[in-house]
Amino acid sequence: MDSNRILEHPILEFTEGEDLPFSFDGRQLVGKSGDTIASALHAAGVRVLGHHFKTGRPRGFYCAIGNCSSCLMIVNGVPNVRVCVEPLQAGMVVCSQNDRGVLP
Amino acid sequence: MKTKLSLLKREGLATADDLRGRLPGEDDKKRGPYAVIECFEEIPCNPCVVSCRFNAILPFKDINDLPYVDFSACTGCAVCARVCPGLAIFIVDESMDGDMGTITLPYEYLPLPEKGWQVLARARDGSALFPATVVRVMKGGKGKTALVSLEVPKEYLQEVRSFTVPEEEDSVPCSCAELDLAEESPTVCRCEGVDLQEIRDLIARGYKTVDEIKHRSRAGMGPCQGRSCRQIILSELARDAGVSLEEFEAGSFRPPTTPVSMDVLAKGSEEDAENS
Repeated sequence: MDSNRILEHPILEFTEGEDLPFSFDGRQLVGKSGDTIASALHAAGVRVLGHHFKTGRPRGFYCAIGNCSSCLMIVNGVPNVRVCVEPLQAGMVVCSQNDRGVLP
Repeated sequence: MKTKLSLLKREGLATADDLRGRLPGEDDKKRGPYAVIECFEEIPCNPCVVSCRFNAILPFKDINDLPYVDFSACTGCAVCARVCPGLAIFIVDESMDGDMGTITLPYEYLPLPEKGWQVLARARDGSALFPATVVRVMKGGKGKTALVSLEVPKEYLQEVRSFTVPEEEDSVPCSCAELDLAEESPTVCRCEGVDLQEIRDLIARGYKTVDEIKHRSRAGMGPCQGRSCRQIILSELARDAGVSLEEFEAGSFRPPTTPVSMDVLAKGSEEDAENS
């Protein structure tokens, strides 16, 4: 399941974290402690995080540093969460966002 | 007035002109290996100068200075090549007899090749040159940057600046079947869904500032506040006008510079609470 996780890197070292279960659009997934929501999704093979409200174009993991708006998702009911910089917590409910976001 | 941009400014590719003063004279070339520092941006960075035990990199007056090598003092020890965060330092050795010399390149990819491997030597622009043999590999130390030496014909020592290890099969994962990239114009503003063609059309129609384009297309008005698209629009405008980026106004910036939740704005800071 974690086939997309980087285990070997020419410069960086990673320590294996503990499992953190969370849900994505109703699917049960497992990330690792130290993950951001986006890195956990990426490791689980999820590439499309939502669709653009105007163009309908699929949106994915892009800048990965909280700069752009490509990874905005609905987390625990809150829209427009930049999942690339939001640390993953056990039990999070993560949903794709396909609109500008509706305030909870 | 239109200024012509150099290839270095436009594409980031150094030419023989840019390397003037960076290469040794014939006598120093014969003496032994030497460092070629292809560092052209004045940024606050000095690990090369600090790390050189031979004082072979001319001392900086200012931390933004560019490094220049004193080739009479450089031994080609490669310590600077290891510590350069920009991987901009190469060690060239053409002191041996015969037609072949060696180029030592910093390498931060996997797999790390081993001595004897055949790799594909590449030029500054990434284009393939010829197969070359790895003659030495120095594994990364504290900074982990490995150094790989290739045997290269002497006349190509100032051309080879990278290499790739041939892969058995192309294994780039792709799950974007939904997109036909060949038919799509690249996205410029990810927040508001504005593509490059739209920006170019607006420029062609006479909108010549970032703000004008913003007002017409909404590019830069989304949650990221133009952090992804402003530079691209600026470079498109500069390209259209034929001037360098610095000559363009960046358009208006307004706070907040980072997304802030309404909650924070409503509550105010702790300081405000104390003062009230």
